[in-house]
Formats: sequence, C-alpha cells, structure tokens
Amino acid sequence: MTLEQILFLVFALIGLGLALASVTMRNLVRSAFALIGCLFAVAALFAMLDASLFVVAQVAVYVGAIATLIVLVVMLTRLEQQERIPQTHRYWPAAALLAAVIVAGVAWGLWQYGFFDQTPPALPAADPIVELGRALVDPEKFLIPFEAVSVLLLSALIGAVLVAGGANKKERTE
Amino acid sequence: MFHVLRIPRDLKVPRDDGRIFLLYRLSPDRIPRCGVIPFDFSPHNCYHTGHFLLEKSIMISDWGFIGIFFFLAIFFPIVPILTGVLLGPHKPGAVKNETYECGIRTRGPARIQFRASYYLYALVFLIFDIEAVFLFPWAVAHGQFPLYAAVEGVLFLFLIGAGLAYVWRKGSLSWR
Amino acid sequence: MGDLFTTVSNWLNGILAEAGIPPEAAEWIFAVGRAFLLGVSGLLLVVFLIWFERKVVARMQDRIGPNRVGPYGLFQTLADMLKLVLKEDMVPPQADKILFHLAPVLAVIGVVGLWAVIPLAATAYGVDLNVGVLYLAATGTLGTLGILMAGWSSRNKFALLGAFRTVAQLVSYSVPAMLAMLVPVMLSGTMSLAGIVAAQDGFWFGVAAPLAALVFLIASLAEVARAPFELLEAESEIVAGFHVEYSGIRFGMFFAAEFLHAFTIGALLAVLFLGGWRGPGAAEFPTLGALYFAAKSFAGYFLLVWVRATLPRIRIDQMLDFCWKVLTPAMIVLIGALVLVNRALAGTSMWVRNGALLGVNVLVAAGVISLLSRSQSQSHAGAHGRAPGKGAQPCALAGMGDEAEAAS
Repeated sequence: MTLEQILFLVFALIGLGLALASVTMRNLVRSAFALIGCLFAVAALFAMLDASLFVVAQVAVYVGAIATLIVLVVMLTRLEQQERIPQTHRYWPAAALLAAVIVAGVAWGLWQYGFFDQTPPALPAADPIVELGRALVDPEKFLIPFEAVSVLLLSALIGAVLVAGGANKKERTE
Repeated sequence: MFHVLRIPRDLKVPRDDGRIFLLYRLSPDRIPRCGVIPFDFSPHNCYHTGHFLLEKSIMISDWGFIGIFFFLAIFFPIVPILTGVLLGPHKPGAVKNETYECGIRTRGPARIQFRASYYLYALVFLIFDIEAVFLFPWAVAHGQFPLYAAVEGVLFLFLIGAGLAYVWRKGSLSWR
Repeated sequence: MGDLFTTVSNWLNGILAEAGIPPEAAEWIFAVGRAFLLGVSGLLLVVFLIWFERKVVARMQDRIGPNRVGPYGLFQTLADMLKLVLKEDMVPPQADKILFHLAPVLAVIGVVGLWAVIPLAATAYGVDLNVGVLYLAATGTLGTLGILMAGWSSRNKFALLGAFRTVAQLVSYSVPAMLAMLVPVMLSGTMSLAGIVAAQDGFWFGVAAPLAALVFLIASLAEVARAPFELLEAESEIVAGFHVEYSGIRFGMFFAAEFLHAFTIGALLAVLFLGGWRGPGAAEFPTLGALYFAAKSFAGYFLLVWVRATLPRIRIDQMLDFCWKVLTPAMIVLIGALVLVNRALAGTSMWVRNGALLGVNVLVAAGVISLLSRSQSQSHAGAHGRAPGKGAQPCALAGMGDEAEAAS
C-alpha cells in the first residue's frame, strides 16, 4: 500500500467511527462534537484529492457554521431529559433493512460504473479556483444557479427569522 | 509546497513534452538540488522575485504540508500540558474540586437553558458564511470578464444585503 | 547573495545530497523541519509578546512593568511559564473529561495553524495555498470550537455563559472580517497570500481601501476577544468565562493562544493591507523583506495593545449592534462600490484607479458617520424615558465611526 492509501483508510475509518459515535452516543453535545470530527475527516479526504475549495468550504461552512449551530441548539435544549429516553423505536429493523438495500444499490451502481481501476484525469494546469470563478459568472455556464443561490439564501434568511421570531415571542410570554 | 532556487534571471524553461528536469543542471554552481520542475511551468505558479525563482514541487502537495503542520501542531500544546501533569503536585480535595463560582456554593444544574437570540445570530451567520464561499471565487475571477461579471456578483451581494435589511426591520437583530 | 533563506536551504540541500539521501526523503525532512520551525518559533514568540504587551501597557498606565527577572524583566514570562507548569494539574471531577482535555489543544492548533500560510518573506513561508484567505477563515473556526468545548465541558455556569457569548461574538464578527478579506482578494485577483503580497507592488491595499483595513482590524479584534471585546471572559461579570475551571499550564495554553492570535492579527493586517514583506529593496533582498514584515506586524500588534489599554469593555447588545448594523452593511456597500469602480477603471493608470478606490472609501466612511450621528441625535431626542445605558449606545458607535474618519 502507498502512503496515500494508508492515509485514506485512516481518515475514512476515523470518519466512519465518529459518524457511528454521533448516532449512538447518549450525550447529545458529545455526539454533536463527534459529528464535527466526522466532518473534519471528510475535509481531510478532500485535501487528499487536492480539492482546495472543498476543504475550506467543508471546514468553514459545515464545521464553522452548521456544526456550531447544531452544538448551540443542543445546548439550548434540556439535556438531562434526553439521556433517559430510548434511542430507537419499534420500526428499527425495517429502517435497517431499507438502509442496507440503499447501500447495496449504491455500491452495485458504483461497481457497474467501473471507475475503481481507472487513474483519475490530471488536474488542469490553470488554477481551479479561477476556473470556478469564471464558470460562476459565465452566462453559458453557471450564472443562473449562482444567482439562484443568492435568492435561496435570501429565502432561508427570511424563513429563519420567521421561525425563530415565533420562538422568541413564545419565550417572552412564558 | 515550494522549493527555493537560485537561477539566472533570463532562464527559459522548455515546456514542450512534460519532461522533468533535475535542478542541479540549471544551477550555476553545480550543487545538486533535490527537486524537479513541473512541465506546466508558467507565471501562474511561480513568482519572479529578482533572481530568485519559487517553483512548485510535485512531491509533497500543498495540503500534504498542511497535514504535516497540523500533525506537529497537535504536539505543541500536548507537550507542555503533559509536562505540567508530570511535574505538578496532585492533591485533590472536596473543597478544591467544587465548581468555582466565586466562593458561593453552586445551586441547580450547571447546564442551564439560554435565550433563543443566540440561535438567531448563528443562523444569520450561517447564511453569510455560505455566501462568502461563493463570493471568493467570484472575487478572484471577476477581473477577467467584462463589467457584467462584476455587476452579477454585486447583485448577489445586495440580495443577501436585502435579507439583512429584512432581518433588521423585523427587529430580530436587536438583543433582548 | 542577499537571501538568507535560500542560502540556508541550498546549503542544507547540499549536505543532504552529499550524505546520499534520496531527494524524496530530503523533501520530507525539509517539510517536517519547516513546519516544526514555524510552529515552535510561533510559540516561542509568545514569550516575547507577553513581555512586550505587559511593558507597553505598563508604560501607558504610567507604571514600569516587569523589571526584576533578567534585563528589563525579559525573563519574567519564562518564570511565569515555569510557575504554570509546576502548578497543580486540576481537572474538576464533574467535568466532561474528553472534551475538557481536548479544548486547550484545539485552541492552540486553531492559532498556530494560521502560520502555515503566512508569507514571512518573498522566499520564506510554509506553503502557498491557492485558497489561502479562505483557509484563514476556516482555521479560525477551530478556536471557536475549542472555546465552546471548554465552556460546556467545565460544567460551570460562568464557563457556559462565556461559551455562549463566544458564539454570538466570534460568529458575528467573522462576517465583516470575511467581507473585509474579500477586498484584497478582489483587488489582487487571487486568494493566495503570497499572491496578494506580490500584487501590492506600488500601492498597498491599505492605502487604496483604508476602510476595509479598519473593518478588518476591528472585526479581528473581536475575533481575538480582546478589549474592548473581551465579553467572553469579562472578569467583573462572569469570573473568567470559558476557562474559569482551567488551571496551571492548561490555562496557560489558552493564554498563549490568545497572545499569539493577537500578534497573528497584526501579521495578517500586514500581509493583506500593508504590503507584507514589501519595502524598499525587499524584492532584491528577501531577508530585508522579513524585517519589514516583522516591523509591520509589530506595528499592528502595538495598535491592538494600545486599543486594549485605552478603551473600556462594551456591552453585548452594543457589540452585536455594531457588527450587524454598522460593520456588515458598510462592508456590503463598500464592496459593491469598490468592485464596480475597480472594474470600470481597469485600463487606467495605477494612480487614477487607486485614487478612485480611496475616494469610494472616504465616501462610504462619510456616509456611515453621517447616518450614525443622525441615529444618535434621534435616540437622544427619544432617550429620556429609557434607561441611560440604551441612550448611550449610539454614542459609543458614533465614537468608533469617528475613528474610521481619522484613520482614513
């Protein structure tokens, strides 16, 4: 095995282990931090692919913003109650079966595609960040999605305010 | 990762067929250098600074160096802490172990609930964070396009700004 | 010769090649050695920074400062470190052990990690990432996580309060900080820090966009959580905030991380807005460039110390209002105007373009100040029925706006 393969296995195992831990742990804050660790392992995998923008976006957005939000929400809830309720409900065998079928389907599909033994294409000589930036503003490429993202973010912002605004009012009347 | 070399000012690097050059051939004083010049040698990945040339190495990638750096950085705090654990005395006591709240005995659970306002600020931040990740590639590339590319980015920015104005108008940015 | 770094690295390369070490192994040795040197020198710098800050603050408060241990008290910090290492290592039994141990480690990594990409001179830096600026933003989140972890795992109300304030503050101020970092990226057309320094040939971005530099400084000040933004460890309100249960060298790690972070802000200000290692003769002699860079970084750090010794702490509502209602809208308007002006004047000479950018900065700053003073007079008119603290709030904001005017 080359060093890269070993590192890939290490990061993949860390990521999977922490993902499992974040699902099974009883302590919600700990499981949120396990999720953060898992996101970091994914960032490390991106780094091994030299996908620079993905690495920083993964850490800045997922770890920095989304995971912080999750930790915050978990801290805002009443923790001590959560540690006593059961972690599964009675439909879990059906859910497990469904999950297994989906994983098998995805694995089969990937296998059929057959890119496991292909070498990846060489990266273009130009800076991929510049290429991405050009693609974002090029009307023939991703201009519409780029602007649509801003509308999406705008609606997310408004939605967040409406939802949280209701929560705030309720809190004050209590 | 960059390798630092001293090479002539008027150096022309052939970039015909992707051959890899050993660096000591280029060096005037024939000292062997470890390193290679990649064939996609261009002003883009090198900066002429006087008669020095910085050139990208292909053995350890940029993120490989970051990985090494973080691996070492883990030990920077761990070594002093372990030293402290080994050298310091260890005499716990009932009073010493109490939660430190200025000498007043602590009451109730420590993990109390907080107001939901904190949550709202984190949400607005999340939106701006995602926006920034899109804006940075645009900021890099907008100069290579006509004016409309710049206008598109500004439109993107102002739409988010409108969202901020809405949140502000709703009074959600006021601390209470 | 002129360049110390190249000479040393060539010399070492020669030694390694003579000894028959294959180039791949030599490159690994170089990478590890460079990473080690960068990190260790960063942490050793803290010893000097603490002495520097204590001395400067003492002078500003008409005291002498540390003066007993070593010449001019230089070894005072070493003695303090020794004391911290020899202190009892206390872990509160009620704490969440794993997260409690992890928090100081994360806090240090989040700061030391920044130095992997900062160009110290034309030929001396760890690595030149093509997403360098975003890397800075991403690595900064590690520190936030460390503080959040410390606050929650301590099982102490004050620590948790400090952690919550952290989220509100660090998370809020990283928005104007990122928007301010967008300006150098936009003007240089690259996210690599070495590229940004290389692009400041002739004109520093801090001269072309002083308002962006000022916003970056204020927002970074909040991200380091130093006065006037040290709400998360406000001694008089919440004891020591998130690290109240930490003692000995564990506390020392948070302390060292904070000081190194403050200096790093000075270094980033130098790289992004003050031309990094650029100066007369620096392109020919990179060693000289390293000196320029150090001087600029220390100037930025001195500014931070000065602010700390001068301004009182602000309240949490003032802190949040100033971020979301002053800095962020101002940066959005500024970026929009800067991009359009910069793009419209792309073909003109350097002087015309930078002069126009400077004009845009002055206009935006003037607009912000006039809006602030108007809202101040309005709230003064309506402030009689309200608490005095509420009425005083726009005054503090207008005061900061005045500084913007003075700096630009």
